[in-house]
Amino acid sequence: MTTARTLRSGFLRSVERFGDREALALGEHSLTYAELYARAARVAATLDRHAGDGEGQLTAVFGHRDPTAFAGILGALLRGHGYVPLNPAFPTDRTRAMLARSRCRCVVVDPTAVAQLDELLDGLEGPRVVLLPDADDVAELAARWPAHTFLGAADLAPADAVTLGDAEPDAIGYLLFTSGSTGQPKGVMVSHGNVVAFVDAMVERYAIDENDRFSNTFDLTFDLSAFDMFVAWERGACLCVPTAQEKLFPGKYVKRHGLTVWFSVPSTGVLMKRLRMLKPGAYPTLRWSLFCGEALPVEVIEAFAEAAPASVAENLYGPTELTIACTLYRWDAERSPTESLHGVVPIGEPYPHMVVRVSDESFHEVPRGEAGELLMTGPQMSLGYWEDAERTAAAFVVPPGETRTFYRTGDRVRYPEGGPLVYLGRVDNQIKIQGYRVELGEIEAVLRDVSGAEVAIAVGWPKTASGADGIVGFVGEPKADPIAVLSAARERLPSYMQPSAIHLVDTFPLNANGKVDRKALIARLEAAP
Amino acid sequence: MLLNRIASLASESKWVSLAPVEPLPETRHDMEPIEIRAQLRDWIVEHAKAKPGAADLNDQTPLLETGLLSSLDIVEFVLFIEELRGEEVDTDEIEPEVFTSIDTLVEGFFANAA
Repeated sequence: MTTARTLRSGFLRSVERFGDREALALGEHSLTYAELYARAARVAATLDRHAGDGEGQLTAVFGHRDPTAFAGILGALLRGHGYVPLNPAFPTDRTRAMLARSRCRCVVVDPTAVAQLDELLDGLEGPRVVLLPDADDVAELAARWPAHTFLGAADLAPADAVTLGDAEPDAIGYLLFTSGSTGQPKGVMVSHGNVVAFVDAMVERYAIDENDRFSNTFDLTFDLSAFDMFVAWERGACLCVPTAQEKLFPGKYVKRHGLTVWFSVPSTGVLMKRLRMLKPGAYPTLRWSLFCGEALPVEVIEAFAEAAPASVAENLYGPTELTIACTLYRWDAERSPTESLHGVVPIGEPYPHMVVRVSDESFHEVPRGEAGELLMTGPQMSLGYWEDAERTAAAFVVPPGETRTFYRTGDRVRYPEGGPLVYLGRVDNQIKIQGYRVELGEIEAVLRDVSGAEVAIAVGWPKTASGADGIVGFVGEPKADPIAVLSAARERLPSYMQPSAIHLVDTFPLNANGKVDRKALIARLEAAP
Repeated sequence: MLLNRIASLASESKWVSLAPVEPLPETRHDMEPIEIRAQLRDWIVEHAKAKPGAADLNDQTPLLETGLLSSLDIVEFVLFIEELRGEEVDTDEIEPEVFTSIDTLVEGFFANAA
């Protein structure tokens, strides 16, 4: 067996050191490290017993907020495999395509996903080994799908039958499908070594120990969930997974579980603020208030920091391709408001082992402090896209004068001397209007400012071959006066950046990961011009 | 010039309300329980009309597990409940179980009326 550390190493060490401590709290379930290990070991031993020759190095886990989903992930890792998370909350056709493309022979299915299993298997080429550790009877499934092998609770091998499979640091730890701009999901290959580098940095920075209790707000198909699991389990802490119901009331959940580490998308903070859950001093147990995944509004982190006064609040940033997060910014009530741009918290500094390069379109470094695309490299840079050499080559580049490969984030930033990295928006959000280069984020900041809305989105509209003819704004404040917003925005923006129309909306469309969905807004304009 | 206001943007996309909280309207605590139930039912049916099962909603129908009430509806729904109650809800003390059905909502939020 290899001695190099992989995704399971920290968990296994915690099983030895903290076997009787709680590893997973989920609804009615509470599992100690020893119990969670036993479940995972039974999964691993069972799959190994039934796996055929020629199986690759990946095991799929079809599940959602159930202990079996977590045991399935750990079971895959004990086999020496990487895991492929599949989410029953997502459309089944898309999930089936991911399963087919990943070519996992074995799929672990938790009780939340059973109802979709027939749909998932319909049209899926086999044979597959489908393990349902909670199912008493799989005879009916087996009769319906004779090409596949179904294993239920009665087929589980004992935990002590497990043999830990080898895994190299360069092997895939998880394969995670993210939405691609062409509609075809991209499978990001993240290695064990990538995650170990990340986890090491995080446990040290946050001084995690066995008394910590982590939130798990992220679905397993969102890579930020890997922070929750592997940082917590590295040091014997407990992962607290709210059920779908509990997730609706995050404030109560923090209190009930005495959470010490909070980690969510900023949108969750926006909702908590709107539901008046961020009362000063409401969450005294929190040591860390962490956000990642989208632009973090200053007023949200301010309110959250006041609600959790014993915590340090940080804004993390990172694309899946750079493993969970790779820059961070520590919020400081005095200094940070002046360092924030347009009411958005900076993304801070790269992790010490990561290298930043802010570049122009030809990947030449721009002078310090000027805007450009963020390129990064280092031990967290992933292996690229699963079976997609073309897109890997387009996104992982060797800039002029460099020998190392960098990942192009597609994000525009500014990195001033002596200051933090400031996020300006997606490169795609920079469009040409009547020949002028326009940063949509700048318009959005003005719209937020003049309307009082927490969220405002600007899109180029109507579209032209080279960009757009004008701007349309969406403002998340139904009580605003659109004419007043428009005229206030006109005083602050040059003519080519001024919106021609403002739509007031109650609600914004969100994508699967809970971020505002721009494409859906544009589709709305296309549908009703 | 186009200054139209998009009201309900029903589509496949999920929508979340992000507008700030407005002051509560005048109290309506004199409402009859049967009227409260009708109001709650109407609100849910209105917001879930595209979803399967919305037409058959009764006071025991599970609201969350069936997806009739999604996480994205919850802010508006809580504000609506406050409007019906005529007083604020202590949102960081809400037990999720209260949102199980119309029956549990009435019991949890309108104990006086019931």
